[in-house]
Amino acid sequence: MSDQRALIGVIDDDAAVLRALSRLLTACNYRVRAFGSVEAFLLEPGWDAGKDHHLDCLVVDVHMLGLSGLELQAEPSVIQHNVPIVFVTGAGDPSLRDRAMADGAVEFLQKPFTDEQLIRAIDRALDRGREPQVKLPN
Amino acid sequence: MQARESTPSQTPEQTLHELYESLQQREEFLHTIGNKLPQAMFFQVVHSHDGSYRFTYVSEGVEEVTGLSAERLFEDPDALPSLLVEEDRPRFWAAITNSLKSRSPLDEVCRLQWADGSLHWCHFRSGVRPLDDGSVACEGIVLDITAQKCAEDALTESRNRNQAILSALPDLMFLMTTDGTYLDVQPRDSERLLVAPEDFIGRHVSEVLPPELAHQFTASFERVLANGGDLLEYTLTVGGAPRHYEARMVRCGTEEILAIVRDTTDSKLAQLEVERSHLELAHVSRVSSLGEITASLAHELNQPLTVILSNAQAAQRSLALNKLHEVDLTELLDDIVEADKRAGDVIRRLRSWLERDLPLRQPLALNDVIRDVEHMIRSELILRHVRLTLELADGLPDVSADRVLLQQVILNLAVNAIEAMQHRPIAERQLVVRTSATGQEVLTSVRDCGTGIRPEHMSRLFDAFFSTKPGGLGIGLRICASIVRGHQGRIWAANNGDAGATIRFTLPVLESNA
Repeated sequence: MSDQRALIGVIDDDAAVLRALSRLLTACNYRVRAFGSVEAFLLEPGWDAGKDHHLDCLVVDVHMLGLSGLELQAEPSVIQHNVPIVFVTGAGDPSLRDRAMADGAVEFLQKPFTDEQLIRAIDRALDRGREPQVKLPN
Repeated sequence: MQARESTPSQTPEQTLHELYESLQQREEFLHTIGNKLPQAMFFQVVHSHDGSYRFTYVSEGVEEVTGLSAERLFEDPDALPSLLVEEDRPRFWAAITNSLKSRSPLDEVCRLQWADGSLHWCHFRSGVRPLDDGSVACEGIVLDITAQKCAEDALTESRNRNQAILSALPDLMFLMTTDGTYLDVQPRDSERLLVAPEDFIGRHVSEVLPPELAHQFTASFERVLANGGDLLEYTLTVGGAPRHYEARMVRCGTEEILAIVRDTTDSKLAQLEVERSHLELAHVSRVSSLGEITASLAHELNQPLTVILSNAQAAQRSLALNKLHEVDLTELLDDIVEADKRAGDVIRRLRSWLERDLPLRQPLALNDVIRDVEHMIRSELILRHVRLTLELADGLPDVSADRVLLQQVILNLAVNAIEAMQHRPIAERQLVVRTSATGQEVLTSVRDCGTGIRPEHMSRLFDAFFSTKPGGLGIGLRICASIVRGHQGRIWAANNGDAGATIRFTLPVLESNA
């Protein structure tokens, strides 16, 4: 029987941050997949394939060496699968926040954030994941 | 030449003849002397009781000395005294009168002004001889001493001029023997002398100056003897306050050394003031450059803070759920400790960056300073999507520099370079910092592939308040330049062949490893 807990993908190029977030999310009873870069995530075979591999939510650092979090948001495969994204950033840049939110991000969290802030954001993301995929006109 | 004694065997005619011949020879001799001596004229003047006088003899030199002919003088004896310069006349006549009255020789220097206006210094010397008829003969010589007088005047003038220069100089002057005994002191302001001027004379430097300074002087004397001159800078406490001096020493003849000593305290203080204001400006610039990289700085601190908080809360949650055994606590705690250190390092760097200490020159490995800066701009590089490549030469000799100031130079250049590349596609934003040793210098280059420097800006690049950045203070590169120059280095900029610009600076290699 498959694990019913939500699967969260974490992408951060800072290894210590990546380990810390993974531990925190594990302790919050999520399943976690950790990636050191956007490129590593995109190269992961079958992240978007079957139900078991399907990520319920991505927690993504904004500023990374190589491709940034915002570039990931613009990736066709990510758009196609409509994975809800929670951005985390060490540098607060309001214009980036506005852009990310306009492009459909669930939350744009300023590091350092508490476990509760993170869980609230992920819960909202998971709620959104359960909404109908196609928005109906009002 | 003596007249020969007449002998009894001679007839009076013979005696007379011999006497006549002897007189002729003597006259010829006198004539020769009188006429061949340059710039001299012999004369005989006869003064009568009635006060009149006349020339009875003048030698051929008369024209050369007075510009007058012998005939003219014979005719009009007043022609000579009438040439006397007005103000010399009373003195001349008083001397003549005195000579005649007291029968003493005349010795007087007066000026003659010739008909052509030229001025001649003449030395009149004559003896007085009473004649049988009661008149008096003055016989003597007039020497034209104009040339000698001019030379003397020139000498006096040059001596006076030298004296005037010396007294106008704001300097002290010491004349010393080559082994360091004071011969003369020309004080400027004796209050600022170690001892009274007269107390220097005859004493050796080691008896007057503090031992360390006396030693410096002795060493300097040796250099003077070897090279002809030397410059000695020293500090001496006079009247309770340390003062700075600069002694220029030159060899003076074979036995003496002349030292011109200038009190440079005021200019030294002014120089220190300039250096202090440069440091002040450098500090202001460091503070303001932090403003430019606030986002980076926040990033630098927020990363480790996230590590600490998330790990701690992960542990708390696991504890609450009684699942602590599922967590690798050792690794978790190590991560917290490591993150704390990382944040501490950021704070420490920030503190030294913001401190306003006096610069501390110390042996530094330039490559280490560049790695410091790499840490400081790591977040800036990530946020601005710039790749940094370090090409640091192995075995680079140390330089003598202040660490923070040098960090500031490199950081300023790097931040400028990052800024200059923002219009480029992300994949092309490449910053290269390179070091190499070139002889007695270490060369650092900071290369970007940005917009480059417009030719018309090139010459003003290192000027204060010149900025091409909107909102730029225009002090960054100016401060880089003043720091580099303050470390005896050079800084310059050039556009790259392909794209962007490279700023290079050199620093002299620390002497001990040169």
